[in-house]
Amino acid sequence: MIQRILVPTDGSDLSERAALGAIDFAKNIGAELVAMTAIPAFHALTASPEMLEQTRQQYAQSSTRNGQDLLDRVATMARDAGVPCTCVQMVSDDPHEAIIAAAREHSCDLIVMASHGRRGIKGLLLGSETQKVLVHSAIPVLVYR
Amino acid sequence: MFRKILVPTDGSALSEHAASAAVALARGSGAEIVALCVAQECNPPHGQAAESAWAAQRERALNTAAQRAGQVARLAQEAGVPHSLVTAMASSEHDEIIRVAHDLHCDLIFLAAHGQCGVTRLIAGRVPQLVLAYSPVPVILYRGATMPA
Repeated sequence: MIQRILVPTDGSDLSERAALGAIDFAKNIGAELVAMTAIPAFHALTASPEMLEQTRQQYAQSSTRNGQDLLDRVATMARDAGVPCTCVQMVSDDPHEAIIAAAREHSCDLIVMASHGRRGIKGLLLGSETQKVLVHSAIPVLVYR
Repeated sequence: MFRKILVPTDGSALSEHAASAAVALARGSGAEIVALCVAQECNPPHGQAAESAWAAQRERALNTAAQRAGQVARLAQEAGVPHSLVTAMASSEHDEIIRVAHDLHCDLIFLAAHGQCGVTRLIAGRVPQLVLAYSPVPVILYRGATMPA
């Protein structure tokens, strides 16, 4: 049976809906959650406003805080529903790689994610990171639209 | 939570594994299964002789679809999971899957990531991708790694 579910989140509304679905699902089947988020690595040459304005250390601190806030939101909702939830922050420029790695490291049986992420390009039938997870994941993926 | 899971199959080995996983999920969560197989519709030819051959072919295609859906229903039966069986014939397989999910009020679609062609380099086969793109309900794409029973 499914015992551990990976829930990647990027703070978007759709991602939150998927997280709520994952919590409901986990509660129903007695599974636990691993909530995760991926922060891009710091790059000196970048167009990202956060990275341009901050030093490496400042960026690390603020993005870790932002990531932690996202994770805390999911964890709080999970615990309110009585679902055990671990939080994992990964640093990676490739969210899909971080997702696959987290699923493996934490022995998850299922990944629950949204069809589109923060960029939410509605012209695409499926978001780019979701697509890449689907290509590389060995375990089933539950996609919320 | 998910109460009624639509499980489309195309008779492939991966479809069968996906169906087993879907049944295991249903059993664990007290849900029911709708087993579905969609036969490919093709246009009738002109001419008397061709038409009767076409009718026979349609019959065969529907029988094959019924058998394939029956296979999934059997898995559900053996696991003690409430189930029903739907056979359909349509020109657009993904549209039919979505229509059945809607008409029968299924709240989850559970299907194999690849169909008969099984080209694993793609994200998923054409039909699963289209189901995923247009489905009104969440979709589980099963890729082949076994879920613990």
